Amino acid sequence: MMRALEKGRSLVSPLGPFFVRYGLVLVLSMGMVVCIYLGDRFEREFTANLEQGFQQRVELGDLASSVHQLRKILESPRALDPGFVGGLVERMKEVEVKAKAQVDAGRIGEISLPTKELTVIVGMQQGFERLSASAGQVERAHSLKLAIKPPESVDGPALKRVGGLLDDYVNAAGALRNSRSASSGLTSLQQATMALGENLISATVESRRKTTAQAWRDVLFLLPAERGDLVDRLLADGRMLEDLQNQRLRALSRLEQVAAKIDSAERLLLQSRSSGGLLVVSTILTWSGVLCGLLGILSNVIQLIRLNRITGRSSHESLELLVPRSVLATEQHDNGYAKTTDNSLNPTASEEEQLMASRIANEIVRKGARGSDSEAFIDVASEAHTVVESKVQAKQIVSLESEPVESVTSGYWIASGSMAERRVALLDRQSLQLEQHVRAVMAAAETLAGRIDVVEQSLQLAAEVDSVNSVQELSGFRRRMEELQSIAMNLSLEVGNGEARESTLDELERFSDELEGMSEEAKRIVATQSEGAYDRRIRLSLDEARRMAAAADTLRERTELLLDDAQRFRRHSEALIRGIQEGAVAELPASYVRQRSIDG
Amino acid sequence: MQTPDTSDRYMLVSFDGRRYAIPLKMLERVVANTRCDPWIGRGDVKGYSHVAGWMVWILDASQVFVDFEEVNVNGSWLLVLKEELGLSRVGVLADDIKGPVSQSKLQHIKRLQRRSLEMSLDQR
Repeated sequence: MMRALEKGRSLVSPLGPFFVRYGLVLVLSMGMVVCIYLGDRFEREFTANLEQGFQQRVELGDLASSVHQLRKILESPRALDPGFVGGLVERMKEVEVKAKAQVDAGRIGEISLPTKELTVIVGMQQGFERLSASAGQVERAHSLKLAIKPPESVDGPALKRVGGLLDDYVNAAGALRNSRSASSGLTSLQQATMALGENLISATVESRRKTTAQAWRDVLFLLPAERGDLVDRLLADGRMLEDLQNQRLRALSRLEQVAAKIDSAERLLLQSRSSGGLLVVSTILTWSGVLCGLLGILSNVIQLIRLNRITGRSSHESLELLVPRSVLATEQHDNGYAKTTDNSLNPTASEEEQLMASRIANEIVRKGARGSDSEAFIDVASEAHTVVESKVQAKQIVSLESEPVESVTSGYWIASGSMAERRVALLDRQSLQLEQHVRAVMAAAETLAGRIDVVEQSLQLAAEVDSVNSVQELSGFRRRMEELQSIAMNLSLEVGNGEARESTLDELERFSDELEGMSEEAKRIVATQSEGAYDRRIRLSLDEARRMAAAADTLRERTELLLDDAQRFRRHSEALIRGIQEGAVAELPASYVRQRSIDG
Repeated sequence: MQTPDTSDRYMLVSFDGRRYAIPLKMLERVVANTRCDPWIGRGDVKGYSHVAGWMVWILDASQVFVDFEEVNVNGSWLLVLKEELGLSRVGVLADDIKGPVSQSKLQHIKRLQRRSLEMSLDQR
């Protein structure tokens, strides 16, 4: 046991001076490396967290935006717009996909999307088409009512009610076509539809009375309640609108909950991703590494100063050193005075000095054995000093070249650069979306322009001069009929002068009656035909104008989307600029200073 | 051939939106879409027209019938009244003319009474 210990001690004992000599520097260097390595790792983690958080916030923002758009569609349920259901389905799918992605990623807890309600609304498509047909029929009756202005019937309360209800229905349908008032229009249209369905039959019965004006019969002719088909349709429309309203409100409340959840998730994400602690730890570790490096340099400098002192003394006392230390030691052992002198000569003798001295002595002895020249001794001593000095200088250069601060700074600089690239990529994606929306807006504008052209042509046709031709034809027809009538009358007069019998007069009278009836009929037919064509064109224009209004609404919605995109784009670009500025301002000085010092 | 009794047969004439009955025996001829020339001379004659070889002087209905003061006629029917004044006749413009109808169908329609030509001339 003792032997083993002795053996170990003998093995360690040569390393002892080495550790004493370089141990501190070694420990400080290793500390520097470890600290900087850990600092770098923490900083990487911080940067990765920052990027990830940004990406997640962008995705959550996308989901929130889609939910917001879905809510907007439901808040303005333009049921008479043929693209309503299509837009709803598209947006619903988009929200579902995005929500699923977020739930799978674990950023949001389970969210209950109003899938059931929206499916019910989508299933109402046929009902919406039926509603459009009913609305068209009622609007035609209303426009006829406006054109012929039937008098207020005193003894027909149902007629009066239906007259008011037609106005309400058309106003509500107009409101439902407009996205701003669609929500209120839905309720009023539902009420007007139900009331119209309930009162139409009694109004039709009242219109048959002799005292009721013909105009009412003409108006109600366009709303045939007898067959029950229209009444059933109106009542079904009313029920469907009520159901739509209920489902819509339910879906909206659910969407509000979903939006609130997304908001809270976003807030949570912001809080959890505020990994400023990592940056602090990283900074502390990095600066600790720098401090270690500086301490290492300092200790080296101290050792250099000591070596300088030792070298100076050795040059002054070179003659003494010429005597081998073993001889001197023997003399000192023999002579006590010599011992005191030796002590006075080395009052600050340390192990390092002894080590250095012994090494120098050994070298001298070795060189002296080769050729005992005093100059050679001095050369060796100065050479040794030079070697030590050059080692210290090399260490200093290495420590200066390593520049831990600079490496950390440039690392962060690269990381922030990649983050800027990521943000630029996001901006690029945003700009693509923006471009798509601009294209959609342009397409909507083109559609609108096309519809306006159709309306213009239709109105032009309606107002064209061909009506003059028809009027001329009509007047020619009338003139001919009147000539016939006059001939018949003159025949009667001639017969009255005694050229015919009584029965002839009766026959002629009947002939005249028939002719008059024919004349009236012809007048009516011609008038109806003319009015029919005119009415068709006006109706076409009205339909086109309604579609145009719908297209204008679509254009407005798309423009709003475009505005949203543009605002998001602006926010992201601002964030990018801020990020670059912050990165640049926080981390630029090291390289900036270095650059300037190099320039200087 | 027996001459029919035309005393209970009437023409329905519209003046100023109202209908009146004129006996057939008072009428010479009826002309639709009359083309009349304006009379630029003095007097109450409104115009003149050529009908079946007669010169027809067109007068205001109030000058010819006793039942109303003044009428505003926009129609193009011309009633040529029976007169024996050589080759000229007196005519009245009406909005519309229907008939002949028998007396039983007249109901509440007013029958017009003719002024004598002298009275018309006196009024001038």
